[in-house]
Amino acid sequence: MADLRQIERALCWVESRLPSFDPFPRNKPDYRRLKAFGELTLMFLYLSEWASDLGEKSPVVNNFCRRCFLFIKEHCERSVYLEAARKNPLRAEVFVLPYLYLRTKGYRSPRHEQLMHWLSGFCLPQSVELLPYREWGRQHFLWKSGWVNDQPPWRRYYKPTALAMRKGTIYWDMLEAYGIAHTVFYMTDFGRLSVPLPDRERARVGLKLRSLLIHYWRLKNWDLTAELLLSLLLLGFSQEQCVIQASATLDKLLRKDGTLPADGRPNKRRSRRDKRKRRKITSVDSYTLDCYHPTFVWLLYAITKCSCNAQISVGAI
Amino acid sequence: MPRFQSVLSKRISIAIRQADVWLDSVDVEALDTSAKAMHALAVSICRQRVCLHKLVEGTRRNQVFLPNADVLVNLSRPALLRLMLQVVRGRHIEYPDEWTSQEYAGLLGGLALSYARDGDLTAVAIIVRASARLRTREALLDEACLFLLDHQSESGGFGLLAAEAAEKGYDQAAIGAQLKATVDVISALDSYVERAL
Repeated sequence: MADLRQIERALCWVESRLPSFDPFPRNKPDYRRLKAFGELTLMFLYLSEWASDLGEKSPVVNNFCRRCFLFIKEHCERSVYLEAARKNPLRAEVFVLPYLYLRTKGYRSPRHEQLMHWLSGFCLPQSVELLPYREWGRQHFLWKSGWVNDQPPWRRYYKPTALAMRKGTIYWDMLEAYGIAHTVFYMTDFGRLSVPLPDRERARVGLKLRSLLIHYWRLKNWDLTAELLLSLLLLGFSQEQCVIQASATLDKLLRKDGTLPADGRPNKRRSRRDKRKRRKITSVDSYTLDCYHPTFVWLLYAITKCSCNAQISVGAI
Repeated sequence: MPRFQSVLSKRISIAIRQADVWLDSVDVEALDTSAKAMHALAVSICRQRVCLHKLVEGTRRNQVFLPNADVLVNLSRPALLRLMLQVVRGRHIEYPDEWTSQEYAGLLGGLALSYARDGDLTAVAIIVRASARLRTREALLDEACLFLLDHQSESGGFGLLAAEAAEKGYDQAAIGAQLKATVDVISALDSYVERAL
């Protein structure tokens, strides 16, 4: 089971790699890094909520939250950052998302507020057509940041999704598997909201998730395995044997530096020669960009798991 | 004479195991459809013999120990097929600690559907056949059965191989492959329907 030390080790790794998340290296926008920067902000948001529940128990977690906040704030406030959003309003969402997540924490920037008002004049970012699960993400962060007051009607949104409509669990591709997982993330606000589904429907969704979990576990796609595990946890299936064992497998796969590989076998099974070869061809940055995503998902999984366990032990008292 | 029988039986099983190892090493993808069908048939015969031998050797214990989930999902395809055949033929099935037959059936159902996503009819069929031994009702296994039924061709055989047959222009080979798939699927469906709940 994930423990605090594992979480701290992963956070130390993220902290040491923060410069790799700079969305404007050499003052030019890099969309891959912008995506990573947005995901860093999302992870930071839920981590800091968990850290405030944790109190002073972990100086590592608290220090990370402080440093990460400053890092995100510093980059969001750069002139190149704000101007890039104005130059490309159709893609402004990727620029405003990190700020809106900071807004959730009570932070307000007059320059970003002005940018948001300017975008609202064009009904942006809401009017850009997106894949349904990306649309859910947009609704989620607009509501979470307080930019939109009403909580999205998740139950109504859920009805026309493939997750609700499609029968069976075989015919789902990888993109749709990510879609299912994200649907569950937003619908439950990463565990902050109760599941807005009746028990029978929840069991049906659980069946689909379990089937896909076993598939991607077999294919050693650890990124998707972690996403599906997190979804099953959020829906309350943490006590299923399948979930317990898949979770133990991920814990075993964590590398010494605290990261989770995206796929394949863990590093320790590779030969020394293979490792030397990989080190030569893989720069620090591309290594970070390759494994940050499964590591963030694992972190979200681990803190959700710790919160669940804390709730269970409080309930037991 | 009984001593001779035992020596002979031992030699035969060693020979079959060696043949099994050789069959494993063959690059099946490089074979044409006819040779693939022949290979599948040879593998099937070998595996059944090896299992039978193990059953006699492991004697009258007749116990099959099911592995934990992390071992099961990491088994290679040949090893998985071997294990499933052992389950089909074993008398007593032992579950890993903390697993119930219902939960294990769910795991096998998930695994069957994983192979279904690869379009692997033989693997799905043998998993369904083995799962029938667990004597539980599981939605994912029902879905795996539906997948098998969906692969019945218009002629009545199992395996949708019209494209492969058209590409090779050799109907007999497709019939050979379809025969093998049909035997696998019919055995699986029969066992699943007959399982005592």
